[in-house]
Amino acid sequence: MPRGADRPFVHEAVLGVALLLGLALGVAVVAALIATVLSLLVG
Amino acid sequence: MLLRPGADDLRLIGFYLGKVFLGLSLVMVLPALVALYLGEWNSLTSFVIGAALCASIGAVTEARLATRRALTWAHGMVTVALSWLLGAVLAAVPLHLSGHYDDLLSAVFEGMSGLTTTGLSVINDLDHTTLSMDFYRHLLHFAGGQGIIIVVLSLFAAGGGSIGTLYISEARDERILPNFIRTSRFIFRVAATYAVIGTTALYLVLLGAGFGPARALYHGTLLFLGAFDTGGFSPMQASVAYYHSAGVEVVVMVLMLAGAISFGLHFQLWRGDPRQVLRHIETRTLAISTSALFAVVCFGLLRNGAYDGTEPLLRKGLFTLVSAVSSAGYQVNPGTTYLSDWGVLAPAAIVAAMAIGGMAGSTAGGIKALRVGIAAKTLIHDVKKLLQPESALVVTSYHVGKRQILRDSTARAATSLLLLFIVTYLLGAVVGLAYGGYDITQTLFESVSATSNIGLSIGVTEPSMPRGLMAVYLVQMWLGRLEFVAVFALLGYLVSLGRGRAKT
Repeated sequence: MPRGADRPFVHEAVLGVALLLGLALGVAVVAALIATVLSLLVG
Repeated sequence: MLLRPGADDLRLIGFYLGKVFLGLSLVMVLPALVALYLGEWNSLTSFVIGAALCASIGAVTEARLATRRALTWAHGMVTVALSWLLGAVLAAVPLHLSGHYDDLLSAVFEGMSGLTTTGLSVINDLDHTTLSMDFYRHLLHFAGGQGIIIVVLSLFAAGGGSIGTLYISEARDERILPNFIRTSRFIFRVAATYAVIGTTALYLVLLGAGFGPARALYHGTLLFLGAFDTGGFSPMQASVAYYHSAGVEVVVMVLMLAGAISFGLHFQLWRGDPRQVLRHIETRTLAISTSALFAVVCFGLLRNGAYDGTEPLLRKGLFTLVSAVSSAGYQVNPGTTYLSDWGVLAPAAIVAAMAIGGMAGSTAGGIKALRVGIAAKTLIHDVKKLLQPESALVVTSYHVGKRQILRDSTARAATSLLLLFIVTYLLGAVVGLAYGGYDITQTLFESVSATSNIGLSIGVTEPSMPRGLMAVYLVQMWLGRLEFVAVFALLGYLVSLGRGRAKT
């Protein structure tokens, strides 16, 4: 599909939600890392 | 010298205000239908009275003030400022009639809190309100939340190049799609898709947590409205803590995050261009500031012995932080625990997160990641300039969907709004202190929460709070939502009404 061409809406929606979930997962992983390291250091 | 507005200017503003009130009456019709279906007759009467009042004002303006003149930038600003203020008063009518509020001011406070997607609440006995009244409170979040985006984007669509620097500064001029109708349609489709997915996800986790199907659907819908519109009203007094469910907390967290992302970025996400999202100055600002603040929250909580282990840090600390950054304001512990168990460091980090807020062009409040990012870039730019020989040309750029050069006017506007927010935070905190009975942690927390339209409460906002303080928070919510500019425009307009030069 050429760049900038209109994709079907469902395709866009699935892609958007998947990317958002990926972003949320990234946030959670980074947070878990910080929490674990700090609780090991301080606790 | 300002020009004195003529009768036809006021007529134009009145006409568009009437349209807003007509919209508000529609917002009241939906819960009225719910009340009718459930047989909640008292609530039904309240909604009918409220809707009739809004609709008749709308009808009168439509009949008497109809005009074909186009809105100018100044008219738009004044209309926006007035519609949020008067809208809160009209939205308060059914709330006041419900009998759950001590006085009219409390009901207007709740209306403003709903429309500005703040989520601070002064309702009595929330757990026993009628279902339709609760639905209405959450619907206010949706109306105000999606409303502000449409308003902002439509002003940009209409304003073109002549927009004041204060607004351009925010680089909010990234119009998502070339025309306004298509933009709003896109926003509506995105919101509708998230509504279906979010409500379904909440429905399933609530079923898993032991709710019956009807109750799960009701709570799921309301939680979705509160989370995605970064509002923070909840169906139960205990907020999200009521559910005692990690599943609910995770879904609400993702929805709050989605709500705090600007529609410009949603557009990039949906078009499948994640690189743009990662390069965007707002994503980077939020990633850096949130990670750093989360480390501070964890450190503060561990130091204070509030929790130990990774799980409570994530479920209490991360949730509260995401709730603060996204400006939703859902709580997983009673507000007073911030004071009694959390020590000083962790609440301080939460206050900082609330002050920064989410992304510009989303329903989130606060200074906005964009301005904080631009202010940081400005600082770096100035230091670079200091270290280079005088003749050297220092160019700093940032990404907002496309690469942009940092200009002086942009930097100045971003920092002046940042300053305005900070002054408002502090003023509100000082007023709170003047009432005695509260310490600085409490008043600063609550003042920042109100101005940034967050809704987290440390316990100051409650039905019996001092009425003067309630009025101050009400104004702070209004100022914060409209980011000062529209309110200043309104004040300027009022001044010019009295002292302006007559048009020739």
